[in-house]
Amino acid sequence: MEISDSLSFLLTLPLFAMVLSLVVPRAVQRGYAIFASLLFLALTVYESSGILFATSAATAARFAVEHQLQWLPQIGAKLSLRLDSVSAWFVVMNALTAVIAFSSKGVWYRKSPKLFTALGFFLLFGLNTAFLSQDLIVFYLGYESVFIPMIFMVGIWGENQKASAVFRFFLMSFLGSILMLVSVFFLLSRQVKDGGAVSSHLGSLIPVAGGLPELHAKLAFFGFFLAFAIKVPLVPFHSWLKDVYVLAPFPATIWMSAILSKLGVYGMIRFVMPLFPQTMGTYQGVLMAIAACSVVYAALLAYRSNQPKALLAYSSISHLGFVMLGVFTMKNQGALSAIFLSVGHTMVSALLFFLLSKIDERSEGLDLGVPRGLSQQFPVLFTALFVVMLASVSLPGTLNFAGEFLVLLNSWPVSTLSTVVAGFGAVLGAAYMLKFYQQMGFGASSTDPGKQGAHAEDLSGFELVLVFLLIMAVVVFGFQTSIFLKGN
Amino acid sequence: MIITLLVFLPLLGFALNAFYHFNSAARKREPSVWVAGLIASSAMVAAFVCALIAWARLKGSAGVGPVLEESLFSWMNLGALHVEFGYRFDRLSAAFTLVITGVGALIHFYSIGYMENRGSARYFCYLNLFCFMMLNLVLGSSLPQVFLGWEGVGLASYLLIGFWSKEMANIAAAQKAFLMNRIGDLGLLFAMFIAFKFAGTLDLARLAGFEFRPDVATVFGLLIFLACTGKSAQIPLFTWLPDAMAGPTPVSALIHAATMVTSGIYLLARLNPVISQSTTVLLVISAVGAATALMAAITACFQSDIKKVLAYSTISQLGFMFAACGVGAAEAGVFHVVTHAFFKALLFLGAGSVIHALSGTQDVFKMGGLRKRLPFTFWTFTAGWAAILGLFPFSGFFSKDMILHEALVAAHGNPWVFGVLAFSALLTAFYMTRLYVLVFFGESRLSEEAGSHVHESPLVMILPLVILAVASLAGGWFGVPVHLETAHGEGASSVSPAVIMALSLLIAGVGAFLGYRKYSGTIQVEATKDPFRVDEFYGAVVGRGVKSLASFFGRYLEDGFFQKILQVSGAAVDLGGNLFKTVQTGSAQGYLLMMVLALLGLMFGLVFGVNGYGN
Repeated sequence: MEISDSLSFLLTLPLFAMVLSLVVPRAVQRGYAIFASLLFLALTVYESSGILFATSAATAARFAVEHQLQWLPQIGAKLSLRLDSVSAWFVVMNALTAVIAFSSKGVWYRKSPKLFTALGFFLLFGLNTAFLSQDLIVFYLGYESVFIPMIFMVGIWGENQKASAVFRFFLMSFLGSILMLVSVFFLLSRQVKDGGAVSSHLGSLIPVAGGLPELHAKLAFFGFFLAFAIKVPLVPFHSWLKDVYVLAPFPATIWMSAILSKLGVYGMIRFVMPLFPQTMGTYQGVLMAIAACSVVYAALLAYRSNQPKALLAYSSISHLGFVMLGVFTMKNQGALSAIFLSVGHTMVSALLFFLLSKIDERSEGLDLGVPRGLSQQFPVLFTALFVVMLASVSLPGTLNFAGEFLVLLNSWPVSTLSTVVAGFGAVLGAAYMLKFYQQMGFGASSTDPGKQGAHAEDLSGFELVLVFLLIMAVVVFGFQTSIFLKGN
Repeated sequence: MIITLLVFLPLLGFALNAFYHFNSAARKREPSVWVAGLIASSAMVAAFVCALIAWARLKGSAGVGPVLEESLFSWMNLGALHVEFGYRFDRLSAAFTLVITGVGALIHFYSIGYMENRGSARYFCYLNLFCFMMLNLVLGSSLPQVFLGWEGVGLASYLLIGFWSKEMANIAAAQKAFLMNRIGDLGLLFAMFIAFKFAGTLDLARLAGFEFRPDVATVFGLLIFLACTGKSAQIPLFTWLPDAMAGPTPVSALIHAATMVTSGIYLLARLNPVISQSTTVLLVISAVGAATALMAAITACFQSDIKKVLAYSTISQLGFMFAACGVGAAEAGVFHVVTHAFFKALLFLGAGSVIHALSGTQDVFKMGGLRKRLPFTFWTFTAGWAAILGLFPFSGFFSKDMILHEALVAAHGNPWVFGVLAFSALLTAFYMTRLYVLVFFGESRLSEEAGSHVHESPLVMILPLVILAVASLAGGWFGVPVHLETAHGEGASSVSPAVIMALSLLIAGVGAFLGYRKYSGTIQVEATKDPFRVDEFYGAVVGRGVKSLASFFGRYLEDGFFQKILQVSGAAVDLGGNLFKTVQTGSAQGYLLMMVLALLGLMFGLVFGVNGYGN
């Protein structure tokens, strides 16, 4: 491991882009946002290429980078950033999500575009802080800072009746993160009691957590667990989700489902697993059952939803249940599969909401009833939607299949019952996704072609290229899985 | 790389036609059915030639079980799991490959005539995609690769059943097929997890040589069989196949008669050594196969839609094949797969030719007397009819006979299975003769509109019919295409094949006679009936069950319980102070202010609080 300074640009560049967006003229805001986020994606991939494209786990470990700065010595908080084979994927997903979100439904650029772009880049910054930080206090700050742009986005650009939805979102997430903060302080206070140096670095907290009496360890565990369970979310901690997803503007929904949910996944893998392995082991059966129930419960509710955006919201919860099932196996291979599937989930759920936003643009709005029979009119858009739908139902040959397959393969010996239950979620998944596609794609057209106005064109240009590349990635990485597994 | 080439040729056809489709759409032009059809057909012909070359090489190579192997890349490596992506061509795969590419190529050609003015490049895209996936299924070297093909053919089937997507009924049929298959697919998925847990490998060759613990072998075998009942339309997952007739008729011939629905037989034959480790599994397979054969044969007698009769007939014939696998004579099952592929494809394409001639009429009670007006169709259909009845010397005679014989003499043979299959064979002769007579003999009952422009099909459709008729006639003479390990001589009884041959000819004769007598005179129109009503039962129990569970969760948990919790906690916070009052106004600035204040407060407390603690 080497100490280097090369990581801080992953934090400073988004801030710089945020400031710059305030001076870029309104007219070119969208182009600026997309270009800057693409550039940032390229830089992120370049920076992590040593880790991503390493052929073995050992090579990847050699490319891991840790970078430290003194920050708040009183509480031992250091700006301690680490890019390794776990965080690299999340940082790349974060940059990718920004590209897709900025390219989605363009209507929000009519109202305060500068503010929106600035918020988007702030989000990128906050998420990268959380994904890179090895220090729990700094992680917490990054984790919390994400609320600010999110609440602004839903508040300013969201649909009507958003107040109570935002309130719930805020209430539940805040409840979770406060409990996590209490747990962090609890660990810090133990450190003080034990008379050692105070440091909120993960490395120095692991022995502290390991030395806790059983009850204390359980309490501290639940603080973390609840925060991340709400963030993912796992059923029954999900009730904030549907309304916010539905009422938020499309880019915000993309951000929430594709990457904010991964904060929970990441936190569970990076912090909860190493800090509380024993406690987690005690509750493993329950945790796996919760994950499996999330899959089926959310799938049933998705099946029941008639509103496409709500359906996709539940579908997102359902698929994250599979991810968590992999995490809760508490094995290296399970966690790897879960990260693998996370990447698939990020691409596919972002693409689904992205394509839905394009349908929304081209019909008279989804809130006026679901448009029908559009596949004849927009063949390219609907072909893309169909292929992404196949990835979402994890048809073999896609990234999501390989991820889901490996997760279930690894969870089978740990808890066969949970795996079987989750497996039925896969059948339900096909049921609601076919319904989702069929509602809008097939049958006689319900919209009057004359009314479509300027948006009646099929997917083309930059959007088409973006979607095509992402779909190619989903297929190629469905076969070239070694990039994720590295012979582990 | 001949195997890889033959698998990827249809994918190339798919890609070319996809490009052609979108390119024409962009230029607002209708793609030509001839261009698209010839691209797709040539891909299939080329694949067939490759399959023949590979077959010749296989024959030339020495050894008991010669295999051509090609490994492409490593697919999934994690822990003890190593999945190679590659192809393996042995006698079993060869039999299936030749059928898929050979019959497939004929049906591609036929489609050019059948889909004229109704088809597009899209149709041929799907057809080629299907063949690609099907070839992966039968040539893949590991279970995950079989699964790729397994779900891939399900996808192609979905796309083709719902090909005419403006009719919502077609879409519903397509979805039903996909979902019922997905339930079966779970069986294969779980079977893979078990195989990996106990055998540590998913490679087919290594798995076939593995000795499982007896109880594990039973669970594994039953899960595999569950998957097979989905794909091959056996009890309990068969109700999707009759609905699948909503697709274009060549699709029914290729996917829902000749190839995809025989995947289950392939998998059972491939895993025969493992399946045979459990007598329970074998018993279940033979019982379900025989029951399906009977049930579907009975139902076929009550159908009036020409395609539905053939669909139930297919289910019934698949039951015969499963029963063969169950009694321990998988090779007889595979033999019947091949002959059935010829004559059932022929019958479906013949039916397609009739439907084409009558501009879409499918009700056999509105046909009659077509013998003179569609001579080519009539004579080729006659060959198919004779073959499915098992008349000497048509191909069905050999394979059906072999199954009946094995049902008695094979290691796990059983007189009950024999009896049920023999009675099903009688019914087969009855309903097929009923169909044959109603369509081609007697007086014309055509509606005036349909009768006014009856025409024999074009050459591009007739030619495949003739070739398939020849294959149906001669196919049985080549004998069993595979030699799987089966234990002979310890069967329930020993009966000479000659007795069975005589008996099965007698059965066919009686069935045909009864059918002819009943339907040759004045025709009374019969209403379509489903005597078992399994479909309705599923709709009422499973369909409604899932819906009510979903709405129960929705109403009482999602919109009930969880909302209450949120409301209560929201109210509590409201009572707690004026700070949250701003929330009710819904202003984002309010939240932001709150956030920032909260964060600042936290930071403040954090820095000084902990610092103080330290002192």
